Amino acid sequence: MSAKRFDPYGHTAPDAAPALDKDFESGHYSNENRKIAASGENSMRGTGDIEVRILLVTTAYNGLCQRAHIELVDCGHDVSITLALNEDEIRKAVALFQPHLIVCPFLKEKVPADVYRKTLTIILHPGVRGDRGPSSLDWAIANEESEWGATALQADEEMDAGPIWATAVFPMRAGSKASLYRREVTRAAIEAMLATIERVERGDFTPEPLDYEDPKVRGALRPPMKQKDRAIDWRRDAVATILQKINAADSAPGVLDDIDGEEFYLYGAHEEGQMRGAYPGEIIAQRHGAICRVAVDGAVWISHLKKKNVAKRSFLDRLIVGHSKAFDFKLPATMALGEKAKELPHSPIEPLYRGAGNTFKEIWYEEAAQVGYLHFDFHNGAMSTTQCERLLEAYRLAAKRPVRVLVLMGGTDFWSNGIHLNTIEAADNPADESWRNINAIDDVVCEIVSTMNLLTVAAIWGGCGAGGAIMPLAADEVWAREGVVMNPHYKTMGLYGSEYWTYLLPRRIGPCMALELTERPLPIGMRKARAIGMVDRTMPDDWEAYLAELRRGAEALAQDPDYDDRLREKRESRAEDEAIKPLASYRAAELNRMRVNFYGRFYGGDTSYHEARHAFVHKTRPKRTAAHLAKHAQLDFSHLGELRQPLTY
Amino acid sequence: MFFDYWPVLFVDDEPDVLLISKLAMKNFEVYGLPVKIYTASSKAETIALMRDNAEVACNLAVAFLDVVMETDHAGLELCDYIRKEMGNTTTQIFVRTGQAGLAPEREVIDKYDIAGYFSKIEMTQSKLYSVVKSSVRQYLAFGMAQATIELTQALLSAYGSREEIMHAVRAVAGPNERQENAPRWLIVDGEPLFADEVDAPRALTTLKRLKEQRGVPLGPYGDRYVKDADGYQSIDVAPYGSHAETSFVFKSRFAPPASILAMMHGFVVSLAVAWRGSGE
Repeated sequence: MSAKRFDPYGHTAPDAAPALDKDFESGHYSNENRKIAASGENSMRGTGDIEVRILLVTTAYNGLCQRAHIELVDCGHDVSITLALNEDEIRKAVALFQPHLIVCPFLKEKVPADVYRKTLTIILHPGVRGDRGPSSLDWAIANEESEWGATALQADEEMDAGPIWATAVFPMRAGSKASLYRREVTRAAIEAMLATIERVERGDFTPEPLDYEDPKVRGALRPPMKQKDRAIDWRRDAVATILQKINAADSAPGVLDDIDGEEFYLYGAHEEGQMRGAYPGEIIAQRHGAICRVAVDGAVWISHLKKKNVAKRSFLDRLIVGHSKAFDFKLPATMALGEKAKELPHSPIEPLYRGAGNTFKEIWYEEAAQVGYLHFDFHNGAMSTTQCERLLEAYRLAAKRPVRVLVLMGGTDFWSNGIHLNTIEAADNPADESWRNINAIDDVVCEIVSTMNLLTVAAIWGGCGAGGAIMPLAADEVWAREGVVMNPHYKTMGLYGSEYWTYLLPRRIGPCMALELTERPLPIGMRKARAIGMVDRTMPDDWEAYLAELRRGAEALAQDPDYDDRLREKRESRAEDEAIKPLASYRAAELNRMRVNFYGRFYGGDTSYHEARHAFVHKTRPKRTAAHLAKHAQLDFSHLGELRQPLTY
Repeated sequence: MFFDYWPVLFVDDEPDVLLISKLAMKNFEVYGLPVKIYTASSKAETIALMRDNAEVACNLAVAFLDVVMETDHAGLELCDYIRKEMGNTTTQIFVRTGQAGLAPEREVIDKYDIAGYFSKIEMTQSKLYSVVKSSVRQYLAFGMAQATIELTQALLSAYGSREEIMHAVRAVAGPNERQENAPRWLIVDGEPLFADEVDAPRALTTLKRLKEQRGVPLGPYGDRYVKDADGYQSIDVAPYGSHAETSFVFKSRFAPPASILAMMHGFVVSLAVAWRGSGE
């Protein structure tokens, strides 16, 4: 595909490729039904020899949107982003950017008709061909679909009913809605988006109108899933049903349920393999913030809760009055329950858990062929003070095992996203809790950097952000899945950042690139990360293939004939760095800057971080699209010189 | 500067020493503000406290460390922890020892970054009084100088963009929990920078009232400092040359001495120049 030339409707492209090169649902597009697509009313006709401008219209700059952004920029397109805050905001962005194509990776709102009539607008819908409605994945999980997909369809009067440009499908997996969205749906949606752009550019493709008579169309219009559809009947529902119901509502809106007379939304369900109780619905244990509830045929762990009907409060109100201990955001279950959880018996597990049975575990360890694999799967990748402390303990134990390579696996949805903003927000003193949390995560990073008895590999399958994107750099090798999105910056949270980033980032990618990554708060994809040396190796997007390659790579590293030399070089290099500037000095300098973020100093206090954290935790929508995303709203300094040219009369 | 008190830490494994120190600090004020006492009985306890409490970790004005606690040199190691591990160069650290033989004064002062060394016998109540008072002054002067340099540096980096300038001075007059009772405003060319529709008229009324009073000139071109009986104070930069008309208005029990005032004035001038130079 040409990156710089664009002929969206292709009426000037007679030599277009005759066959599809994407492995989409077979038979959906035949050569016979490819026609010249455009109708005369579209203004995109005849843009043949100009640079491709693509506007992303999105409800939020979420993981899928970030991935779409990265992929499009990597393809050489000129991309700008606008949040769909209101119709005029979208119109303004279109008027300023004059896009050839609009792509909506994640959109809850409707695109104004005057916009999609004038500019081809593609909606990425998380469902198979013909699926419509706002609860696609929820129903797919509830109905136990064996296969699901993502579809690129053209915006039209009726929501999700426009002509279909591309579809990609995947086998369904047992997991939460958010997990499926972050992995399978994202991958399929990107595939469908890129195929669509290729087809639009090639110009010989006719999108298929939605026709429910067509046997290929498996989807249907589904209503929004209501809480009555999700409700758990603890006296009847089996463990599998409960898991399915919570998964279908995770991470939003959660399943509304009653706990001891109070209404909570439930999240993060895990099957318990051994513990049993007499009364279905009864809470019988707690572990690391999660609670264990009895079901008719077993028990289920629930890791997170959100209280219903808690009035939202503004940041200033929260700042001045303090919090009321009633939180309208998701928290570890025992924290949300407060006093009610105090008496619950603890169900401890080993710090370096090696069991294979079903139970709730955030940290576990495997070992094979002189390689240790340390998993830390924290909800949404957020690491609270206590989670960091447990991870540090587990890491120390793992590093003492008789292995030659220790692989830091992170979690399956996220490797890590740094400090835990929700638990900080809920703390009596958020400044103190921020301080504890950053110190605890720094301890983990310091321990990894200081490990001299074996080689370490950070294996990144899920995304990572903030300190969680710096932490992998503490390892000797960083290997990542091709589709990973990293956000190695702190600025959007009003923080200077710690986790030894001032040592680790320039050491790997040099000071100039470190400045670019931290000052421009944009995500980076693995092509760029590999090119600049932030990751050493990229691995397949498919889980099984990823795991196989990871194991092969780690075992090869453990058996490497140069292993001892590598270990010696590592020790020497660390000692050399330490002699120039001790690790403690990097940390001290970072924390000095963080102090001002957390806690006021001589001229007063900086509340940027506290305000940004409040907005993040309460999911406050921004009032405008951030300047670093809205390219259409940026001044093009390279053309400013033109303004200084003398006027000609 | 905008603290309510001066945090002071006493570390000693003798409970009596801690008790007497606390008593000696009663009704004690520096620049109109009381001291808030934190105590710990060992190096480990102090480190735990610093890891747990951001105020002790970040804003400690003075620390008195006993030398011999869980080990013969625990207090000296703690001093190193504060300076090197915590990167805290502002807190005034004093070493107090009951066994000078284990940590001779010259050796300690040569090796550790401390403000003073005393034997426990030397540290009388009046000595404590003068040491705390003078070291809070020292802490304030050094801290304000550091903070002023950081702010000026941030303003220089932000030069050219008023949005960036606003970001740079957010810590000074941005939204904060004390705005109701101890407000801080930055007012440039008649516009309070961060105030909302309720706070802005309050800022302008206060400034107008202070402008009507006679102030202390800060240089020959109309810059001045004024303080009223209620604790409202203003540092005004007059509009001349490259300076936008700028005022830093605040309420505090603390009346800055001349040296601190000069630093604050320097910051307001930097803002006035950056703002004017950054255009619309």
